[in-house]
Amino acid sequence: MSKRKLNRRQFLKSSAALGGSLVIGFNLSGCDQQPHLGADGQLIPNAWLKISSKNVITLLVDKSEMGQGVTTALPTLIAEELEVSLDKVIVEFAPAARIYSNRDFMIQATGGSTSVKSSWRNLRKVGASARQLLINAAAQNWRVDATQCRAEDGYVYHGLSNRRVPYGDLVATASRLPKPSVNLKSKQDFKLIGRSLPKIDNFEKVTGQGLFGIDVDIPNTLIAVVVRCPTFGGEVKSYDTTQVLKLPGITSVLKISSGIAVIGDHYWQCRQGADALKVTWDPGPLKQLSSEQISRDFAKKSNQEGRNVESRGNVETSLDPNDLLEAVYEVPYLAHATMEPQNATVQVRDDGVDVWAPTQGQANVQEAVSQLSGFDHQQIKVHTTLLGGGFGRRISTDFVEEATEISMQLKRTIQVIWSREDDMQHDWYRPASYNVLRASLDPNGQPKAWHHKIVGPSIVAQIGADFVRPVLPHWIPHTLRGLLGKAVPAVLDVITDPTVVEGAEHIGYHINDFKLEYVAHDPGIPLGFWRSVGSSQNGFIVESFIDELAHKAKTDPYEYRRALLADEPRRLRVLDQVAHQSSWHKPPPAGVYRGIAQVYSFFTYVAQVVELSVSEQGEISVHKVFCVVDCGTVINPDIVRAQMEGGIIFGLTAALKGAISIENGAVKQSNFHDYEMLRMNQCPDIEVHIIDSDEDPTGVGEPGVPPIAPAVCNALYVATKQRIRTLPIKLAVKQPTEKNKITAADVKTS
Amino acid sequence: MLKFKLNGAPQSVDVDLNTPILWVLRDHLNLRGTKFGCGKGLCGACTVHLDGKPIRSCSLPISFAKNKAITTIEGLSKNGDHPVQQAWIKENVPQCGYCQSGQIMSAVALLNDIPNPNDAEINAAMSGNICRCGTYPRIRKAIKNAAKTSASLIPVNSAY
Repeated sequence: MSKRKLNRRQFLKSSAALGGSLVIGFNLSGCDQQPHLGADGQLIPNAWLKISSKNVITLLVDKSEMGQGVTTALPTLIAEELEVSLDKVIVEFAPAARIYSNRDFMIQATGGSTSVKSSWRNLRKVGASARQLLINAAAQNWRVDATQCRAEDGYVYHGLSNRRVPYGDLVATASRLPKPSVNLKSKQDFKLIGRSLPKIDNFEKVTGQGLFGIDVDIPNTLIAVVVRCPTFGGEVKSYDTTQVLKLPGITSVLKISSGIAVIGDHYWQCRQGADALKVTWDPGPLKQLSSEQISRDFAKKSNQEGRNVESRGNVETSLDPNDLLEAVYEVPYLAHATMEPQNATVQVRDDGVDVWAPTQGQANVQEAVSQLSGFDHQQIKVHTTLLGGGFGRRISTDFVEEATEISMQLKRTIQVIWSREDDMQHDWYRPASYNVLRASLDPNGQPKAWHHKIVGPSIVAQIGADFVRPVLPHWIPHTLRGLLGKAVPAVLDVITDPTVVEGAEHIGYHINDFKLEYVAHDPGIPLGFWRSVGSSQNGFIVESFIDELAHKAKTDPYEYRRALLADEPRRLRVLDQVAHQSSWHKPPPAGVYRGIAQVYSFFTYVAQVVELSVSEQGEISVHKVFCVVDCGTVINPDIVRAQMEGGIIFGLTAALKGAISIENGAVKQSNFHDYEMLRMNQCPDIEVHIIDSDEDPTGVGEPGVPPIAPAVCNALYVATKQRIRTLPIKLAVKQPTEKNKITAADVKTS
Repeated sequence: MLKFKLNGAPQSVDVDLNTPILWVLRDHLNLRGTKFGCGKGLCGACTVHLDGKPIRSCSLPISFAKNKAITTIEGLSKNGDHPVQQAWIKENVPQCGYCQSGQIMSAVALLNDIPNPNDAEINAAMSGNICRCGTYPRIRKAIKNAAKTSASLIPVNSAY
């Protein structure tokens, strides 16, 4: 059976008992700390490891586990270098501290498919350093040269004298030795990296024992639910608590920044209290806003000249008015809809704060709570639980801030729990965007000019400050932190928010005259990072439009892409491989249609081929998805496959069903009946192939998402001759007929 | 006092009889393996068995459990080794894991009913359970795997 992590009861016992003291007994002041013994007698070779005299090896995982597999992949890196099997490593989540900052972000946060990429060198060094330290300790005890010793399977061996000693017996000696310099293992010596080892958290997740944020159960906690203004930007005008306070189990009703909090003993009672609460809202400036209005405003703005993001050659002279392909692509706002609704448990005391939360951003939590409570960062302990889905939603700290405000007022431990409706209507949404694309082909059918103008809001302009403040040194006072955070919009006068243009800027295809423009327009709907971020839109747009060009050139869409990717060997490789996997050159069975797409995102290359059919009623059935991924060196192939599968289903859900629509300044959708998820009966077979590579590893959490929408739409074009340019997909034609489907006669073979 | 059987043992609770079974389990009986997802019976995260049948505990009042048997993920097996749990581990099904208690309870009910389900039967039984991480292909495989060991499947309401 898999090694159990700290179970729920142990976690709560230890974290509750710790109160205001440091969660773990070692100094977190710098990267170069020397090996020492912790308060509990364990060897602390560095900030990520603890080794007990009973041979228990604990890794403090500094990333959040939201299903992407960090609690298996990161221990694998350590175990590989430390020469122990994976089941010998126990995982705890690291507290919030500077040393655990994500090397790609400068703050402690999980996202952007960076977990393995940013840990690849550091965690192997952590393991290798501990291995060498233990070897040095054994050599000293045996009075032999360390070069005569080796480590294997939790022991240090001295071959000449045929002696061995378990790591645990070396704890005391090792704690007095200096940190050694290390050499990392080379690839051919890997024993664990590259193998599909089972995930170490499977057992707790199939037995209901995993501790998610919502499961945190600190003694004497009060539950709070918050009633928020349905209209974005609205405020409480007045509220009447008479009926609410008569209900059983309700202890108080409070006004907080985000709305009115109903507090009581149990969630169900609080929820009924919230339903009985009468609030009059001042709906604020967005009360007239609708999706239709947003779309009209985008269209109007698209007539403006935008900021020049990327420009090569001269698009205006090479775009041929007599042979111009022009298209408008539009995508909606989207909600994250993590399965675990937002929640947080916060205890504000006189001497500090404890936060238990399913968060992707420990540094953001510390910063937000510090701003609210006035406590120093070091006095705010963040206990990270399992996350019931993240997808970018839990980098925001709104749910933690609510619990903090209530706890400050009531001087009690508070757990805020959102309903599904709260979650769907008060998310930080994937931005909507409106895109005008224009292209002209040369006499050979190849694109000579490509012009893409993006109109839409910017995530960084809206919430970038929340990510700048946590980067600042902790000694900078609160008022100044606020001012420095506000500098973000000014920065955007000089550079473009990369999340707006990623996936549209460097499209890989060889086109001489290229221009990408951006017209910023923010309707005011709150924005956030949504799995694959800008590439979730731009992948769809670019890979659909290039498909349009292929069909205009009467060229097979795979061959068309191929010819334009001669200078992009890694893109070409995944594209060729997916064509091979899907037998692209053999015709599909009657009534089945194929589409292809490739997108590079988060430093990872992914190509996908979809096989689908369309029923007489116009229902789309996606039967099969072939996926090829090149993410460099693979730590755990089965986790890569799982992330591709999950990314495809996430992207397919959005393509077929996803839309958050706005009416009277509020989100219309409220639960899974009107913001639908793909379910088992609609789920395609998925076949994932991983490219063998010696490159450094890159991310896999997000890159599976972007290619699926265009691959589906490209297949639908073949099936129906309808080009889908607005998501989610709505087919106008009911069924493919001989007349409207693409036939071999429409496509030149190369 | 409302009496029912919980995971094989007699249980009584003194709560508002309109309280959904989910919140009685989580808040009053401290069984937190059953999850809150939507509150409307739309996602299946809260699935438990009532007299062996899968129900959405978030939208069924505890009064419905009177003199009946509730089985939760905690009661599925003593050591986490029910064939369905084992199949889940073998296929590396869980990602975030939040929906998996509900998925497993639905799958166990399916296999108790149809020991060797085909794809259509799996779809019919499992489409009420949403997995946002997209573990459906592995769930399908795991159910088929567990079906192969169906001889060792014990009807769940007599697991103890």
